[in-house]
Amino acid sequence: MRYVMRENDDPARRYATHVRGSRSGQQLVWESSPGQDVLVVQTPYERDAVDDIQEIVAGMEGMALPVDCYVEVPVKPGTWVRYVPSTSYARNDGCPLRTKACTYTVFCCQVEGDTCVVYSQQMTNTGNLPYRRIRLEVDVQVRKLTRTVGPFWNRREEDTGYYQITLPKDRMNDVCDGDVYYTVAGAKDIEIPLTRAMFKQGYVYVQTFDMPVVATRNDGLQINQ
Amino acid sequence: MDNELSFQSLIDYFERRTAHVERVASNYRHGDAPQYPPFFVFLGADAMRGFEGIARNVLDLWPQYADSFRFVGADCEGDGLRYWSLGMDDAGASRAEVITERELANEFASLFARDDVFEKMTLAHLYFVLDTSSIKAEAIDEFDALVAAIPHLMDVLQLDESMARCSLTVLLNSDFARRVVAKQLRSRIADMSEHMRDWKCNSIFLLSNHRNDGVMLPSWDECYRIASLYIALSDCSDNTIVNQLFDDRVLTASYAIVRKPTRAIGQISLDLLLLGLNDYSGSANADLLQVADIEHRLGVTGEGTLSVIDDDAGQLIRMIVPSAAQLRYFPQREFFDYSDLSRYTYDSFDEACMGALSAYLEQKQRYQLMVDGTQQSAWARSYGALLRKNFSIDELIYLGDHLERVREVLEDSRRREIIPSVIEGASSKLRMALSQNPQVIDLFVRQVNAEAQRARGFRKIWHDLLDSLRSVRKVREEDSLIEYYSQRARTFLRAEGRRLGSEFATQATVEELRAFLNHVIDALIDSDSVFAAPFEAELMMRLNAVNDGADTFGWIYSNLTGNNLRTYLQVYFALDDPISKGVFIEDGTELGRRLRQTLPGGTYFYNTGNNRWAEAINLYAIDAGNINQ
Repeated sequence: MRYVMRENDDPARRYATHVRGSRSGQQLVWESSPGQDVLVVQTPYERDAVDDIQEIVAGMEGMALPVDCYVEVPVKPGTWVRYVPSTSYARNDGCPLRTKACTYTVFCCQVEGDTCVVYSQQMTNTGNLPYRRIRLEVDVQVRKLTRTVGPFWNRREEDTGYYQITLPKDRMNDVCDGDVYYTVAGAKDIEIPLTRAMFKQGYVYVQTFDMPVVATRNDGLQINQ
Repeated sequence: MDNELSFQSLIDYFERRTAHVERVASNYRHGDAPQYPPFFVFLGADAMRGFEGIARNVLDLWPQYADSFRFVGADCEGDGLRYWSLGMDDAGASRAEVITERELANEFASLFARDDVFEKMTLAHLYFVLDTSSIKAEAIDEFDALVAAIPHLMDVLQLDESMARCSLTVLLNSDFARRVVAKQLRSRIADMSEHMRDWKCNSIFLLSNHRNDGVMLPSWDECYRIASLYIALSDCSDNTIVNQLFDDRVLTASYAIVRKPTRAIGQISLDLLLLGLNDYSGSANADLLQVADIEHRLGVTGEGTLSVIDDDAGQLIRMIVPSAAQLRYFPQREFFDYSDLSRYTYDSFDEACMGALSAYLEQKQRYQLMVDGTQQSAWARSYGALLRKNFSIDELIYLGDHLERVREVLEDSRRREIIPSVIEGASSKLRMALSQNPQVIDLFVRQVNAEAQRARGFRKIWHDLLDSLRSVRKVREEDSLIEYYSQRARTFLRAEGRRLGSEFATQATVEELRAFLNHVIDALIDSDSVFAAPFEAELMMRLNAVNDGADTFGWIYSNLTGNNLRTYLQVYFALDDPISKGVFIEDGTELGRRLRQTLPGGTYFYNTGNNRWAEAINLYAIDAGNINQ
């Protein structure tokens, strides 16, 4: 498939804007002209795709049309695209989010033969934005694991050499592998990612006598410890 | 530099290089020097065009005088004369610029500016050269006008007989189409010879391109050489000879040279070398992409990664992959113990840590192993070098015609098993991720295509070069030459062929191929001392190799004497005995010593300081009757 950029020369009839999260918080919704297909672009939280769309479209060259699925743009790690036909949008009452703690931008587009034409966004002063930043809060607990040793008259707590990190299971689908990571004193130069599988399980163990520090590099993600 | 690459140009290079190596080996020895300051004047446009030929030969005999000699030209302009300063720039190209009469006088005076350059400063030798090639029958007076420049110049320089000797060398063009005008000119020269003093001339040296054996010379090159030897003899330390050569006579010469047949040697050797190298241009197997080692040759490792990337990114990958100590801090599904990693494979460890390792590597791959433009260019260059090393020209063209199958081979590496140990597995996973990158596969396929294009261009250049082999006449030398140098070239090919063959396939442009072939020629010359040996030693080695006990001296002697000396003028009555005989050879050689013993007395041995060849010249006086035929 070829991808080309065009100026939107008829914004009154061809538009997609006012992007927001759905009431359930799991869908992305927007306002668009009737029958308008849309290209959804997911980017890191701090950056929308309005200014970068030309580069993103160029990077999509040769990709199959990502109809109703998110595909990462090969030359732009962390940038995902999804082609949403107007019929899919209507059927699903929106477009599923891939993850949270990121920014979604929409662009009008249409397929002409083997070419997908993507139209540039023109920012208006109506207050309706073609992108939406979606924040995420994650509650994390880090607990030293101890065991009780000694006779009943002299019971005492002893380190097991393990810490347990507890993660919210309901955030499994909202995070990307690596959005949240931890470091330990013994290996400070390595950031060990927390994965969706760990969120699904709800906890992991880390073998260390020093407390792991959970952190993120994603500005859209807030960790509550 | 000439852009054309031909067999002929390679032989030229071979000849230049052997001459250079021989000069270095001879330690740049000097021979005899001119006694009196010579001043060279070229009369007419044709003679001036040939200035370089005379100048090179004169400076070949007297290289130490390159800065001292003065070359000027004179041609007719209206009723007067126009003067030129002639010279060669640093690159060896000739140059000419108009000068005034005064400047011409200054050029002449500069010969006498230092007292340590010439042995004797009491007389000047003025050598005039006149080429008759453009003089037409209906404008025969042009000859007289040019000759009249001699007394005029003597007046300009304010010279009389007591201060200068003059010699006029006439290059008589006797082409078949110019027989009438040549006859007229001979008649003029015959007339002149009877009133030579009127022309303020002490001798006329007459050379024709129509030799007495009937050969019509295609150029003046040999005559320039003979004229230079005549100049050397007429300015030698033997006053008897000098006086004989400025004795109001018309002279001509017979000449012979014995030298190493460098061009023929070059031709025989290079012919074999080019055909030998041609084997390395290879023919592509019709099933090239099915052969067992095709993956290896295309740079796919046994592990399925691309070797170029492994080599380049290996160090970075080693820094990225967590160490065993770091892996101990990875999360655990249950209470495991990571202290003994040997209990885990890559997959089982990744499963135990719930994908933390693969997620970690993926993050690193995304943000630290990104393929940027600079890296792409470097990989493309390295991959191009690998392809040129592993495939012949024809094979590269074949690959270019089957790019989709090449892509399949490169992509097929994706299906390999990853090495199971944790750290090796992690390293392998990163390497595989890079090698699997569609951008990288595209890059490499494009590079295969680029190399195929280059190979197509190269094949054309190469075939043109091989075609030019046919345009060169076969060597007609005796069998010993062909047999001896074919053997040398084969020996060289056996020793160096494989190495040169692999280098050969990496050439892309005419310039690269020329540089490579020049390098091959240098290596060939260095491979056997015979290539740079003095002509006498070379001849001895060669003749002895093919005919034990061959008489080298006898061969040289016979070629420098008797009928082997060709006279450079058609005469109708037999010439008298030569008035002077000269042998030009390096002093102190065995050949020189034996020639001195054998040749009759009266032969002047001129020390040339070089042992690259030996020449013999006999100078004859011709009477007016024999000129005017």
